[in-house]
Amino acid sequence: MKKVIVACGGGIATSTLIADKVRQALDEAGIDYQLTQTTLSELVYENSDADLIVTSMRVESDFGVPSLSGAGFLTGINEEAIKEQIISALSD
Amino acid sequence: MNHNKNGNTLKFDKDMIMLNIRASSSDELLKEISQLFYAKDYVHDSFKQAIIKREEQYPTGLKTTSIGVAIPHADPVHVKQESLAVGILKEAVSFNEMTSGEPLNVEIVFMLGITDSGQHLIMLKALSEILRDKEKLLRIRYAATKEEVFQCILPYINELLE
Repeated sequence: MKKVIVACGGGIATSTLIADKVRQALDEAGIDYQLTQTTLSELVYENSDADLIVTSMRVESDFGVPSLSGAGFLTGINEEAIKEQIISALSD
Repeated sequence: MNHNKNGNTLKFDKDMIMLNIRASSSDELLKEISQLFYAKDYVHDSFKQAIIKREEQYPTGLKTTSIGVAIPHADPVHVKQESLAVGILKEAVSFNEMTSGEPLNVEIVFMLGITDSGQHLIMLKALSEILRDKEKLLRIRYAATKEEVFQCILPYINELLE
């Protein structure tokens, strides 16, 4: 079971859409996962056992966990590349 | 948590569209578009400041394959009614881009009144479909009338309006 955290500013709007796309990508890839949504400010407390963090905004901090930006899921720009990065980050 | 059915139904009509906006800054622009929500009593007094503050902290500018877009929104506590407004600029205004935080020229603003009802995902999905459609964004940007803008957006959100 892979633990994925999706975070945006308020933890509700953008992250909901990104989370939906992440779920789609992981379902298609047949990866078993648990996904939680949070805010960027709470991310620091919640990342401890995560396998991947997907955010709306590029984050400065290194949480010691692979992280990438999912904003392309809103506009379709580089969408396939982001999906591949997510899957490869979670593939053993 | 708001489970009131009326508050969950998306409100969007021609009154929520503004054309030919001139603004010297993104703050001024956000204030201007916020007025559409106040006029309909869709938001609480705090909405305008919440939108501006959030944009500073977590910018919403998005590069698309055609027109630069921003999708400002505020925490649901500032919102009474699920709603959408569209502002089209006469001349581009600089926002910060969501991922990089770098300046981005924006010509279309989709301002969201999100209530934390189950519907916001559907609304965002609809919005995302528009953001992916290069031709549609160009049509919205250069529309001559509010009616034209409304008709461009309607097919994407029609099921949310009833």
